Amino acid sequence: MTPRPDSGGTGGRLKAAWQALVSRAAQAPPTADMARIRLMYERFREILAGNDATLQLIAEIDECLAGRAVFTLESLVRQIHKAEMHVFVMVKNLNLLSGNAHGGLYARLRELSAEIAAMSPLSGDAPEQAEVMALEDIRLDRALLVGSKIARLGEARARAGVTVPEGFAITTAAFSAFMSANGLWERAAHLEDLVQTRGDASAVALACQEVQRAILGAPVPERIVGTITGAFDHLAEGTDLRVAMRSSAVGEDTYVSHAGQYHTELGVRREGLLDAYRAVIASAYGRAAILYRFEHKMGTRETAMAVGCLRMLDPRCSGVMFTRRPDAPDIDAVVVAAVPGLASALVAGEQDAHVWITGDDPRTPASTLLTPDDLSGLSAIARRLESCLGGPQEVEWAIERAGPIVVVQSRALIATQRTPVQDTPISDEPPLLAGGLTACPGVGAGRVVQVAREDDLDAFPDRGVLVARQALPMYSRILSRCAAIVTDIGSPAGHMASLAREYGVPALVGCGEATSVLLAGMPVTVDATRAQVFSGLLAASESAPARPAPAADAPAVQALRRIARLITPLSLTDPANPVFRPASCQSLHDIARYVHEKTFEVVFHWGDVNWGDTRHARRLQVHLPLTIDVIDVGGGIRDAGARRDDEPHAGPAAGSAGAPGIGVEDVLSVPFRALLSGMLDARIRWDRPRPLSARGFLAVVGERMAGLPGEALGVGGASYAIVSDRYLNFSTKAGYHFATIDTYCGHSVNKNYIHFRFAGGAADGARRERRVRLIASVLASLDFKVQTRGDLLVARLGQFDQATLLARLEDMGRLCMCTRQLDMLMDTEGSPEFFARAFLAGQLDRF
Amino acid sequence: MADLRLLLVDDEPDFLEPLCTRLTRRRVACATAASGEEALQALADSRFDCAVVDVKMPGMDGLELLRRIRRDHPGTPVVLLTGHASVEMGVQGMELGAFDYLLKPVDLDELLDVVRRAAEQPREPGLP
Repeated sequence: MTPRPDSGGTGGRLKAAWQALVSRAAQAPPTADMARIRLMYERFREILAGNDATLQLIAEIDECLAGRAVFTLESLVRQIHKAEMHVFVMVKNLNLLSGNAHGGLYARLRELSAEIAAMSPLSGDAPEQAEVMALEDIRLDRALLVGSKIARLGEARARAGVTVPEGFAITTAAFSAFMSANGLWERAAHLEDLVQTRGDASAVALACQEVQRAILGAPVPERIVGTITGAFDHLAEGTDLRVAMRSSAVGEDTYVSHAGQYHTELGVRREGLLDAYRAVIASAYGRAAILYRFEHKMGTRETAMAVGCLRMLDPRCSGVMFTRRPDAPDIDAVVVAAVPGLASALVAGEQDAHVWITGDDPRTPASTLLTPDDLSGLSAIARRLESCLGGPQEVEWAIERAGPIVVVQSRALIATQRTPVQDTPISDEPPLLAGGLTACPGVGAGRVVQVAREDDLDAFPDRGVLVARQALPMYSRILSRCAAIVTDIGSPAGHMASLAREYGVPALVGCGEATSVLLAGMPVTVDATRAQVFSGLLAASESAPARPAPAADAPAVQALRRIARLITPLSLTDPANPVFRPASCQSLHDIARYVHEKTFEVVFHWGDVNWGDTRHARRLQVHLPLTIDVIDVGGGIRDAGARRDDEPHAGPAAGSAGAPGIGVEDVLSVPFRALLSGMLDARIRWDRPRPLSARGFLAVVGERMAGLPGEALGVGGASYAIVSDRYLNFSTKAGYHFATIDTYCGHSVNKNYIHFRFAGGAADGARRERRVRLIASVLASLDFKVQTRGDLLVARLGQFDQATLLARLEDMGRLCMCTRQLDMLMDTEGSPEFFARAFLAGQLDRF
Repeated sequence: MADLRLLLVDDEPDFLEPLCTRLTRRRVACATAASGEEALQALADSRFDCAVVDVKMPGMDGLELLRRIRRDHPGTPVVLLTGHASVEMGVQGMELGAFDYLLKPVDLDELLDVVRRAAEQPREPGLP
C-alpha cells in the first residue's frame, strides 16, 4: 500500500498548530485601550442585562401582588435584594461609562434602599432582645418577640383581667440564637426552596425529617440553657413544678389560625426542659406546618418560633369556647365544649365533647360537667376577651378544682357567612348517613377517599371527599383541594374544624360510622349544613361558605404592598420632560428606566469617542462609500492574525488603522453581517451615474453636489463598528448625517433590540427635516417606534426574534445607502412619502 | 516579565490563592494580604498598580482600607470585590473613590480589564 498524500491528516494538524502559533504571536498583550473598549462594552452589556433582570423581578412582584403567584416572605426579600443589586450595578456602570455624569443616582438609590430596608419585616435580627420573658411583662405589642399566642395571653391577663397560667416565654431571640449557633437557617431555607419549587411529596417529607432531626440533635447554647432553667426555678419556688410547653409562632393565631400545626409538650419537668423545647421548635418544620405556612405565604423566618412555658394545670374539666356561633357570628351566643380533665384530646379531634350553646336558641346537654355558674362565668370572659383582643375568639379554658376559670389560649375565631338553609333537602333519596355535627356548613360532592394514615394524603385527588376516623389537623395540607370532610369522631370545636372553616370546606364531624358506610371510591354528596350524606354527585346543589381570603391579610402580602410602592411603579416616562432626573426617581423601576435611557445616550456617541491607540481596530475592505473601522469586543470578527499571510485585502493602504484589514467574509457578528448585506444590495447604484430621464434637473444638481464616493469618504471621517458575535454598535458620520445603530440579535426575544439614532445633515433645515420624515415613515412601517424632534430621530424596535431583527437590519443597511445624499433629491414637501413608498416597494433604483 | 503588579486583599485563603495562581499565569505579579493591616504594610513597603480588596473582612473592613489607601496612597487605585453585596456598601465604596465594585464570582478576564484600566489612570477614579 502506498501512503496517501497526507493532505488532511498530519499536514492538516500541522497547519492548525502553525495557525494557532501565529495567532498567539499576533495577540500582543492587550493594551489598556483595548481593555477600555472591552470594559465599556462589558459595562454596557451589564446595564442591559441588569435592566432585563430588574424588569423581570418587577413583573414577578406585580404577579404576587395581584395574587397570581405564590411566594414566601423570605423568597420575596431575596427577590427585592436582587433587584436592588441589579439597579446598583446599573447605576455604577452608567457612572463609569459617563464619567460620573449621573452621580446623583447614588444618593437616590441609597435613600430608596434604606426606605426598603426599614419597611422590610425581616430587617434587623433583634440582637439585643431578651431570650426569656415573664408572662406578666408581656403585652400584645411584644408579639414579634414572644409569638402571637403568648402575646395574646399576656394581653388578656393584663387588660381583660382574666386568669391565665403563670409562666414565661422563651422568645424568638432565643430561637434565632439557637438556629444560628447550629447552622440551621440554611437547612430551613433549603426546605423552603424545595417546597417552593414544588418538589415531590416524598422529597419534602424526607427533607422535613432531616431538618427536624437536626433540630432535635442540636445543643441549646449554654447562655440560653442558663436563662431558661433560671426562669423555671424562679417559677417553681422550690416546688416540683411541671409546665406545659406550647408553640407560639410569630403570626400564629392572628391572620391565620395555624390551628394544631405545632407541637405541645405536657407535664415537662426541669430535666426535660431542653428536650421539650427542641421538640416544640422542631414541629415548626413538620410537613403539614411547612405546607400550611407556604399556602399562607409565610416563610420560615417570619414564623420564628417562641415557646410558652406555662404552669401545668390539673383541671376538673376543660374545653373550648367560641365567643360567637361560628355559623352566625352576629347573634349574641356562646358555644362551649367541655370534657372531664384535660382537653388536649378534644382539641386534637380525637374525642367527642359535651356542647352547650347560650343565647336565644340554647342547647344544654345531659351533663353535669358545667354548672350554670361556670357557664355564666365563661360567657362573661367571652365578652371581655372579645373587647380586649378584638372580635370573636376561640378560647381554650380549664377549671381547676375549687379554682377560677383559667384561660389557656385565645385566638381569633374564623366565622363563616351564614348560609341560608334550604327548605327542602338536596335529594329525595334517603341519605346514606345522617347525624353528626356541622364543623363547617355547605355542600360538597366528590368521590370518597378514606384516610387512615398521613401517607394516604399524598395521593389525595382534587375534589375528593375525605372520610376518616378522626378529625385531625394534619388534613390541612389537602384542604385546598378537598370537596368535603366526614369523620367518625371529632368536635366542631377542634382544630380541624377551625381549619375547615378557614378553607371553606364543608365538614361533618362525629358521625360515628362514616368510615364503615362511606367506602373508598363511592360518589357522594355531603350536606354538612343539615348533617346528611347522599349517594351520587349532586353537583348542582354544591355550595360552600364564601372562603375567607387569608392571603389578603397575610403579613407577607401587607409587607409586600408597602415595599412594592418603592419598587414597581414607573413615573419617569418621558425623557424629554424636565423632571426626568435622578432626584425625581420614586422607585427602583424609575432608576432603572433613567439609567437605561441615559445609557443609550452614551452609546449613541461612541462613534465620537477618542479611541486612543486603535491598533486593534480593523479596517473593513469593502466596496462602499464609507470607511469602516471594526473593533471586536468578543467573537465579532475572525480571529486576528489567522489570515495574515494570505489576506487578500490586507495591504499597507488597508492597514491605516494599524492592524491588517479584514474582508466582509471575516465579519462574524450576525447583526453586522446583516447590515452590510443590506448596504451592499446590488440594486443600490450609488457608484454609477443615474439616467437623466429618471431624475430631472434638480436631481442632477443634487447628484453633482453629492459628488463621488471618493469625496464622500472625506466627510466626517471613519465610521466605527463595535461588534461581538451578536452585538453591533455602528456609528457613521460619513456623508452628511450622523447615525448610530445599536443592536443585539441573540436567541432570547426579550433581549433583542435595535436602537437607531439619526441627526444632522449638511443641507438646509427644511430638507433635513424632510429626510427625517422619510426615515421615520420607513422605520414606522418596519414596526419601529419612532420619535422625532426637529432633525433628530430616535427609533426603537424590541422583542423580536433574531430572524426578524436581521431582516430589519438589512433594510436599515439599504436605507442608510439610499438616504446618503437624499436631502439633495427631496425638493418638495411630497417627496418624503414618495421615496418612502418607493423604498418599501423595493424600487431602490429610484435613489 | 509581569506587566502589572497587583495587591490582593482577602481574609479567605480559599479565594485568594487560586485567584493569585491564575493571575500569575496571565503574567500579572500578585502579592496577597489577609487583612487590612497587612495590606497597608505591603503598600508601605512597595508600589502596586492596583489593589483588589474584599469588602467584608474581620477587623479593618474593605471600606475602611479603601479610605486609608485613598488618603495615604492616592496613586494606587482600589477595586472592591465582594461576595456579600449590599447597596449601601456599594454606594459607599463608589463614593469613597473605588475604581470599580465587582461581585464575586468575578470573571477573570473582566477583572483583568478592570485592573489594567485602573492601573492606567489612577488619578481618575470612576472614569472608564
